[in-house]
Amino acid sequence: MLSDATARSSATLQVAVREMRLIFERILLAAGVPEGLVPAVRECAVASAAVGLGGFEMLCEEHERIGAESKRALQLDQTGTTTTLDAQGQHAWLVAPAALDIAVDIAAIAGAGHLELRNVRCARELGVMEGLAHRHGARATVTAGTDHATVSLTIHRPPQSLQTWDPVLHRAVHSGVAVDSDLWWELHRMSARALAPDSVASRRHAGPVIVTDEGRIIGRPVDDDTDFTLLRHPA
Amino acid sequence: MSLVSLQRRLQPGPAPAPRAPELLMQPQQLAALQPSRLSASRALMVRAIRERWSIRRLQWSIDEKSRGTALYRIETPDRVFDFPVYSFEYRPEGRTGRIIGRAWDMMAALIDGPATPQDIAWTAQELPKLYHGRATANTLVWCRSNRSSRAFDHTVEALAQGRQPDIAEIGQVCYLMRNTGLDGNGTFGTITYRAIAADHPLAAPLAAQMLCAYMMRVFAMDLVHHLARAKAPRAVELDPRIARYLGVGNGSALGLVLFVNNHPRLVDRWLSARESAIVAAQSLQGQAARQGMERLASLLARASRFRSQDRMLYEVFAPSDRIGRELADVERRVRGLHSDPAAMSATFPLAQLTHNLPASVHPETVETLLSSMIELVPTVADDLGTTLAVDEEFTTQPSMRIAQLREILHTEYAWAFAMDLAHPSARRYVWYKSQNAEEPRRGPVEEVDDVFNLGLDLPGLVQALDRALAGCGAKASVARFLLAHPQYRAITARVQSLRGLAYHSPHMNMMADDFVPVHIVRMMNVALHGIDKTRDFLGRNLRGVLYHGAPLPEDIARGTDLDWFHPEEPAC
Repeated sequence: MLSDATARSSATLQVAVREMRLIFERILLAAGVPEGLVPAVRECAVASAAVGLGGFEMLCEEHERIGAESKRALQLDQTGTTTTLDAQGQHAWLVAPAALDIAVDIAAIAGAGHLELRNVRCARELGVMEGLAHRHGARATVTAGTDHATVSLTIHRPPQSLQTWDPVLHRAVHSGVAVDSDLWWELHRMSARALAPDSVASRRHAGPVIVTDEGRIIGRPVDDDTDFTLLRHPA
Repeated sequence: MSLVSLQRRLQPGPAPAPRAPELLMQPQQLAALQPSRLSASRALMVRAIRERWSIRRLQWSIDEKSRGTALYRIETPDRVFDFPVYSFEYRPEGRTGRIIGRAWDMMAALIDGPATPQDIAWTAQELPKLYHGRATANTLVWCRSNRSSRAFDHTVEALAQGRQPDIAEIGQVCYLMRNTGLDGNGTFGTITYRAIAADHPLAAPLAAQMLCAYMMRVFAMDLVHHLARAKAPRAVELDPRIARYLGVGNGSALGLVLFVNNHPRLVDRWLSARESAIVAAQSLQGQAARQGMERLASLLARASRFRSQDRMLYEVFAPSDRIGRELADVERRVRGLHSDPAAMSATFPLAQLTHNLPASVHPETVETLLSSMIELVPTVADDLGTTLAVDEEFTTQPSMRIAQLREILHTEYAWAFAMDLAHPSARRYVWYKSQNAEEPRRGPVEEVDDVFNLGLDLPGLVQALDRALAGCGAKASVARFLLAHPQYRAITARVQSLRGLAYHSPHMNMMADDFVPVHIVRMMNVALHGIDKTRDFLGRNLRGVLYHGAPLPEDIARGTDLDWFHPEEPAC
């Protein structure tokens, strides 16, 4: 039988979108990204991994900075026909959801949306907007420099299926996404920070019976064969 | 407002119509829903019986201490699945029905297609690692189960002694082994649910998990026979009536509340399908209604007997003897209607029957009647069962105006605004997962340090979103609002994406002192999964029986009767 270490260091893994979402979400939550913003940033990270941008490595290296930057405000400036979003040095994954919304909103009125972005960290990662735009029935082109980008977007048809809603995600759902095994298990380990340390008291917060400090059992007996030491001593 | 008064106010009249979400989405009402033809386990059995699936044991290398492997093959008309089982010696240490358990009597995998020796060897190596293991690329589900020592040992002993087990003893449990883990598709490297093609035999939501549960039952029967023979070569086999009566156990808990949070479209689609099937049945007229009444009476008689013979004890749920008595009364009403030409001349006699039930009748009785009615329109129900696969993706609608978003909130979430969240009892609990086995837990705020709340505070989020929106111009766009208030992005996308769906979220404050988690767990277990006899523990855990009365593999292969549910307790 192969040891855990051998199995983990030997290969590239194909991970499912469901797993990526779970692990990425926990890492972002633990990094301090506001709860209500986590799913959107997570989708940027998933899209990044699926199209071969920074993806897994970037999340591993950048998550703490992303968390720290996530409370900064974006600044929108509209001068004449030019709309500019100043990201205030935030990472592209924090900027992309709002930038996409603004571009779609402009396009819905004007037929096409053009948005200039500046002061974006890792601006190449704004490329995820090209895939995510499909979710709004739009097509986006992103031209990125080192800390700035231009987004051009047009509205097409509302998506009718997962395939048209997000072709990148659809491919990833069917094929999974390849990741270095060691890197995946490192992310897996990091994600555990969003979970609570185990304790005897915490074990009373679930289960069909409660065992008190004095060993008294609260609740009706259940036909599980229960090893009560699990409930009276830490793991 | 109490559930009964709400029912009186919102109960549809004699014209068939889906029920108002203000009634149906109350946690207590959802807890009263009963198994039906649309439940995942029953739907799987309908398909398996109709298509005469073959379930065979290809290999058995298990010793007298239960150690070893077995391999089962399931053949559908156009597909083959393998189910390798890894069986272990019973040991009491580390054993619990909770996910934190460290001892299992069997682990298994459902593999799409014939399993190669490499698949079986790889799975044997990876399955015990659980969260750190990786499935083969053709694996659909990993699962594990434990025996109920009480019923299991009693059955082995009885068979070894050449007699059948005591019904009074095994009737306390009604299963030999209990599911202790049916993992979702797309975890540990298993095939993602949405990658399963629409014409796949396991394309229905939870179908792959339900097949695993059925196979746990098959394995449990084989294991008791094997161990009885190991004890005494002249051991007898289980009487098939008892074998059918024994289902597979199931333990469920707080994780299903989080599942409901994360699967609003599935919940909506499933409840909508159930309501549609009920409306179709209640719309039967003339001769179809007369024939329906006859069949309904027979189904109710069985359900009543089943409840009367139920030996389980319940904490917050109604005792079965009460439901049994009420069902007998409803059956009498049905027979009375059937023989009354004037009553049968009503436009919709089955809707009239439901409408005229006394308000004192327990919601579980009413729901048993409604589930039974679904059997009157089997084709409608089975067709609805093919429409349950949904995507749970949310997107913002950036061009929507603030005024419109607020209108949606106040129209579709009036229940959330009616909740007093300022009272300390409204914020009593926090939901989290443990590092150990990722067990979902719910603890009073003062007992929990620094955890990330994983529960969906829907009323709190809705109220907070509305307050924030109120500070913006009515004509401003959602895009501009979210630029300034990014913390509301998730709730905004959820509200916008679920707009117009009636049944997506229970009307509950899951953080509140008075929220009873087991109400939602029971909706999932009983209504969606099709589990019987769900005993409740501490308002948060359930133990129940899947496939209670279900056909054995040989019954399925010969296309047995579809009416297997609500079994009579064997007399032998």
